[in-house]
Amino acid sequence: MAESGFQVPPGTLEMLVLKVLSREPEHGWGIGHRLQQLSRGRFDVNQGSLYPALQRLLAKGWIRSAWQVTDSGRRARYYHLTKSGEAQLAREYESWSRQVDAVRWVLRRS
Amino acid sequence: MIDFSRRLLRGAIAAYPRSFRDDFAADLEETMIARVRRARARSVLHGAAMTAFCLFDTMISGLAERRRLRRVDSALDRRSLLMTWESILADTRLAVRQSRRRPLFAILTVACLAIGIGANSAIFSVVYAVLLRPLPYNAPDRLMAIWSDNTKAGEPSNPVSPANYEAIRALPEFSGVEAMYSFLITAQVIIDADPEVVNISTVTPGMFALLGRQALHGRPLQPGDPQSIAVISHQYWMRRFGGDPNVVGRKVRASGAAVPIEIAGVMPEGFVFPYRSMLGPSGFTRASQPDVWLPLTRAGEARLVDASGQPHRSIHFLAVIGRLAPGVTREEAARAVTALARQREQEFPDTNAGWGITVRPLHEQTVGALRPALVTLLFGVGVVLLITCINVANVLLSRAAGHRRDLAVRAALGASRGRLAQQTLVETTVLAVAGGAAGLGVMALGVRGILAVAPLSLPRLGEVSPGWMVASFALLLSVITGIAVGLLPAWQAGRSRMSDALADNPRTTTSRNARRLRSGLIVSEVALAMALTVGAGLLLRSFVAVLGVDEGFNSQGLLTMQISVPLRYGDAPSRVAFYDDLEARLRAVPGVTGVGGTTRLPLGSTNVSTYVEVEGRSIPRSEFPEVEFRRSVFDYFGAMDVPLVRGRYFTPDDTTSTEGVVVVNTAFASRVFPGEEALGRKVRMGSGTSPWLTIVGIVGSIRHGSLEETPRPELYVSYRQGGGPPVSPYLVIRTSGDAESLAPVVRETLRRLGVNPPTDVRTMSQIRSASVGPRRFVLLLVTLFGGVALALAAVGVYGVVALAVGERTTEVGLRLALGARPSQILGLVFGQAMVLAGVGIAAGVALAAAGTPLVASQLFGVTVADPITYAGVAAILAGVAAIAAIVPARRALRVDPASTLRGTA
Repeated sequence: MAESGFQVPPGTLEMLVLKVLSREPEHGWGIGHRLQQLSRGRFDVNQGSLYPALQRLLAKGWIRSAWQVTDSGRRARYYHLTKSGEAQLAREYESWSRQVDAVRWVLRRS
Repeated sequence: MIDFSRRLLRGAIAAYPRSFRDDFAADLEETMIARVRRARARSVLHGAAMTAFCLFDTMISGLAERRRLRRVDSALDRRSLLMTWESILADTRLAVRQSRRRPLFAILTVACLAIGIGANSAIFSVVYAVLLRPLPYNAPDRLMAIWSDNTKAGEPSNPVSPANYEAIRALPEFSGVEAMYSFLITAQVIIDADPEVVNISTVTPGMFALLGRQALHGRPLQPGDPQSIAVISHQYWMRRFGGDPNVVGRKVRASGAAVPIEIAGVMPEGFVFPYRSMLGPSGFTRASQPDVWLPLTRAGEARLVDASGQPHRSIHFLAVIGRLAPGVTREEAARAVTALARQREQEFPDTNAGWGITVRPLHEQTVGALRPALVTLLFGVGVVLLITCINVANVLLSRAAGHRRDLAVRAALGASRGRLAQQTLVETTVLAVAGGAAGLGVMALGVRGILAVAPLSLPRLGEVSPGWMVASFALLLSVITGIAVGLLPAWQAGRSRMSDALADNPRTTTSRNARRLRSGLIVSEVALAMALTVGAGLLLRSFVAVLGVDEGFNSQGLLTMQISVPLRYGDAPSRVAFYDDLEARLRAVPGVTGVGGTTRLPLGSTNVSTYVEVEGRSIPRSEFPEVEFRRSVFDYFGAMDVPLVRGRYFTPDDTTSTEGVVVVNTAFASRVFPGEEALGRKVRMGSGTSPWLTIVGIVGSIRHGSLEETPRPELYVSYRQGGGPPVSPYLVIRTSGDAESLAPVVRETLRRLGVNPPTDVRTMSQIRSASVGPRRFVLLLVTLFGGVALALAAVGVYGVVALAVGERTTEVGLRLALGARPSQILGLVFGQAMVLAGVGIAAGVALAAAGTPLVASQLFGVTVADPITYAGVAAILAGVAAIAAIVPARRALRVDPASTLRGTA
């Protein structure tokens, strides 16, 4: 139980989605699944909140989408990263790393 | 199951704002369905649980998204409300703990929901067995009932003539077409010298292959079987032969059959054919299932051809069933039979002019007539559940009001709004699922109750048995109920503000918003109760109207039964002698004041129609009027109290050696002889070779079909004429006292005459009562639902007024301190409750008006907008609301102004 079912830390979902999509285009279910995999099963992502995040990313032009047929033959909407999305990912990665470092410093000190 | 989940999810996705849905609804739906599919692959239960989880997820996230759109700069981070299985588990544990802390609340809520869900599941199990479950045949959805359409009379489901049946058989649109008598016949069967009357369905021998069912023992009827072969039902096999498999091959003798009949097979349990409603408007009354199937062949005792060897063209007596050929649709088949009918109209104008052919799915033919009643019940019981939900939601809302600080503290400590909302939703779902589990018990009781009060004549009711499908329905209904009940309180919980926790003021009243919400709930509850009760009221008024119908004879004090004339009286003269003896002995029984008999009893009888030709009228055969044909035994009209309008009744002097005479009813006289004198005219039946019969009497029209059907033209022939007395007549015995108490004496009289024990012994009052059975059944249940709805609405009003009084203690105390009179205070509280009830009643009128198409087809003698019903129900509801409001309102008077002012109230 302790190893799974963490909620994605506040504010990081969009960044994590960008990261997943930087590897290859995925459909909605695939994104959630991949996030769980990449977090070694610790992150549990709900589709209900994933989609609004995708909507925001689309609105900002960081990802694009297209309907395709999946391996299992069902129709699904695939999302892939745009150029500006790549840049955004880099920026967010940078800023997140700094935050994490800062938190770590504070914690070490006390 | 996947389709059902998809439909639910589609509904839940509506929680998202439109801007999101336009773009993502389809993708979200597909993804969720993919998850449900994977879970479903593990088990049905996993699938159902995943569906429920996805429903939660969608609704919570959707509502959160809506709020985010409204207030983008929300201080609370919406991402922390992501749902996980773990948080739901934790909330479930919390909900269980809370219920243990407040057992009364939990028990009451669970009990309410158990009744609501259980009643719904009970009705659903009936609807499922009757309307949804496939008929017990192979690929039953490809089976069609085929009828002759009497376009002139506007009767689309008439039996088919043998000639038309053979023509339909030749159509390539059907892979098979078979026929049966559109009525059951009875015959005496002698087994081990022990005669017994059995119900027989006469079917073309290919029927069983068409239905695709095999025999349990032996074989079913097969094409080419002679009429000395029979197949028996499982029920008859168990009853008469004790389930002995060696019955196959046995020979039995039957009345009317020249040679012994060999039993070729036993059909399996659960095989029902035909259902009563498959035989069309004629059908049979008492026996719900046949005991024996006999072959209907082209020639022979039961045959399709006339004396010249040609199939009958003018006599319609077949119920026809066809199986659509592979790839053929119902519409194509309908076009094919219509074209055939048109072609035959031109080919045989004398018999086929004005006759079309219609095709109707066999399932619809069988249960279609029941659909309106069952849909009414489903809606009625659904409304009850809705009111239950509203009441529970209301209680939760008021409880939440008392917990506002609790919730606010938790919000202040960092619980997100979504998390608080989720917790409420989980709690209500836990309560609802517990209610559903208890509801299974309620359902079992409910089904037993329904079957106990249901009339036997409803098709397929014997097949009701709650199974896996019904249990799934109950589970799903529980989850949906839980979510429905929790939505409003969850929304309220999500609105908790930190400031509420800080503003430490015990006298704070509920926010205006929450009060308005609760008022809205009460209004809708009263409106629903109003609509349901109006429906019940309309059905009640119809029932009273039906019971008030004059049946055309006196049904009080009549004993009826069917007897079989012993086989030794084979020829007509010896039967007449037997009848004379019988009449004399029955008249000698003390308490008997009249003796009569006929072939078919009124109020639920089958029809046997014939075409009559009127002497002196030269019109084509197809234009001959169709009338009902019945026999009159002894002084039938006198015993029944059928009024004589003109002319005379039959007398014992009407014999084979005197002029052939008939008595007709008033409907016959006005239909066949409009504006003319019917008395003294001559008519003849069937083909043009039968003798002319003189009309000697016109009697009142009695209700033969049912109380609701207007009488059809009828023609009676005396038992002493026209081929001799019938072999299995119904006797009607007029008694001076209690009809039923005379039955033993009559039985004894019959026994001494050497007649077998009579069957179907009932008083006419019982027959009359049974004829309105289906109507009484629906009325009983809808009235029950209406009563429950009223009670629930009363509880709701009571609760809301009690709460308002509690909240306004301070205000009331102040007013009293400032000199308000108690009556003013009472008026204030009571008045507000009555305003709510009034608005609810007004809304209920609109709701009822919108819902009337549901019951319109079941009304009799009353319009859907019946003002008496509406006014009466409104008055009842207002009265109930007033009582429910006055009790808690009086409590306001006991407020002590002094303690209010001290601030301790």
